[in-house]
Amino acid sequence: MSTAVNPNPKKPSVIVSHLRLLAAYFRFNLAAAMEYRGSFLLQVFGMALNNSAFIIFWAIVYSRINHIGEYGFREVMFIWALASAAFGFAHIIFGNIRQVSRIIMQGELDAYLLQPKDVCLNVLCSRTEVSAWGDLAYGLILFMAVWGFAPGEFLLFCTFTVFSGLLMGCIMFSGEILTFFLGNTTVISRLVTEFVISFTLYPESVFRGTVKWLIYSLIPAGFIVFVPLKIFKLFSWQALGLLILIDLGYVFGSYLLFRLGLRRYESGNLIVGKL
Amino acid sequence: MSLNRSWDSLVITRLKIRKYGLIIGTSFQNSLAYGANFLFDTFFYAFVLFIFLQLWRAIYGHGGAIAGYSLNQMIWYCVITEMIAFSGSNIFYSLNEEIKNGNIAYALNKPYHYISYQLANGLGLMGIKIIINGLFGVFLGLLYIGPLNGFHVNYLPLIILLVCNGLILNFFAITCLGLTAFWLEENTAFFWIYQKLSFMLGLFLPVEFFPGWLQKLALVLPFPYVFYGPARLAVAFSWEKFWPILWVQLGYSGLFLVLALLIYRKGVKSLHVNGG
Repeated sequence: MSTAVNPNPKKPSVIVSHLRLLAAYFRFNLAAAMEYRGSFLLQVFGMALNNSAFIIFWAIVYSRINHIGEYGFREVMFIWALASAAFGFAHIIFGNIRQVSRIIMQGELDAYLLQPKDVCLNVLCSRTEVSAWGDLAYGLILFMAVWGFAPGEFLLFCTFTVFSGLLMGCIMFSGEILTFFLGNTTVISRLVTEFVISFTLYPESVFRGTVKWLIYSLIPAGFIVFVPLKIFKLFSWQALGLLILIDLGYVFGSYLLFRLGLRRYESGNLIVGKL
Repeated sequence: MSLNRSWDSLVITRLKIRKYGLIIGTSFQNSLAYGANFLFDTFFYAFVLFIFLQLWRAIYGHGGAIAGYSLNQMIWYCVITEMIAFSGSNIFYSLNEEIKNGNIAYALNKPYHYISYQLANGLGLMGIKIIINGLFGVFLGLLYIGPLNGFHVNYLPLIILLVCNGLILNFFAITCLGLTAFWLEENTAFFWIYQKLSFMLGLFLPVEFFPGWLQKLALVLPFPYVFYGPARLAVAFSWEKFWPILWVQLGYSGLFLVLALLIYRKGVKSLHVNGG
């Protein structure tokens, strides 16, 4: 008998109930951010403008040369657009990604442990990062500005955004949950975040030797932006399916790491209110 | 009578120097206590330089010079600009936090001027950072690309002077931005924009890479004098460029200092702190 069958038709399945939780958090977080509309818009436009500055850098570099390896200006803009959109997506939905280490160290996980939902998802989704909307908007607009708007291509880009966002998020998350095993790992988690961001923003041909191995294993920037670019330029369903499987493999791996780490968690008996 | 008065003012000046000197020393020691932060910064500095080394090697694939810069000069340019960037103060965030959470109230009744205190505190932090990053940067530069071609050690004190001026100019500019927290709930976007303008107009690329009209525009703005000025002279020193860069750095530092004092004076008058 399959475990996916819901024994009680009135009660939603575990997956549906967690998707509802995700949707509810998204709604409430967005409503909370929109409460201060001026601040929200300032952060969104500020972040988009902040990211735009790098277009100038690349435009100037490419005014002096034609290609860096196989990458022309449009290819670099693609990886920038995808990296920004994926980062934005991850931080809108899972706003606590880069707070997990602090949450564990300060014993704030207790509040989540008592709730009847998956701790991992609950912790990650309970907050949003307002400026991430600027990253997402910047990524989508940059893609359309450089590659034009064709519905099929745009849909493919959005698919990449979701899965690359999940992959990027789970790598940063993995850096954070090392706290379970090693104590204060603020430096390591900051480095992991910076590595993920930095490796996704430069043409693949820049990286050689050990670094090339690194970007397809521990810090899989290759699967976040470089492989999607290859699939985008030479589409095949098999390649897309394989990429999604790899992405989900990393996500599952980080989830397992969290569950493993959670066993080592010791409550700080901290009394906190969580509404 | 007049002699007494000038003696008194001399004593007061000496006490003030001692007071702010102590703040610099304390900040210096405090910074050393957070070894993990230094470890992160140093490691990340090496990483960023490594990325730029790979990038510029790929760009300079066929050798030669771009905008008058050889690969050797370009890598050393990055070593110096990143050294300044990693040695900067985080005054924007600390001011923002102190003003928004009301902790600034505790500083108002202390026997120092708030801006002078922040400067002294910042100097201690920037001092230790620039020493560590400077030594490490030179090591990385030698490791990555070898000695800087055509560099004369006689110019080193002048380069250090320009690097310090760049840090101070940057410090006062972001102090002005941080002080806007007196009126604005969310002012981080302004900092991002300032930061990215500084990055684009000097940190990542020398001004010579820009088209002519942008070069002219950039050189009248303060941004290139934080990173570009010191790094440009370090990789290709010339007295014709040294004096204008020095005067513009001093001019903009003075302007931002006056602006910071004015904003602070106006901001403190409109400050309301509730509770305690």
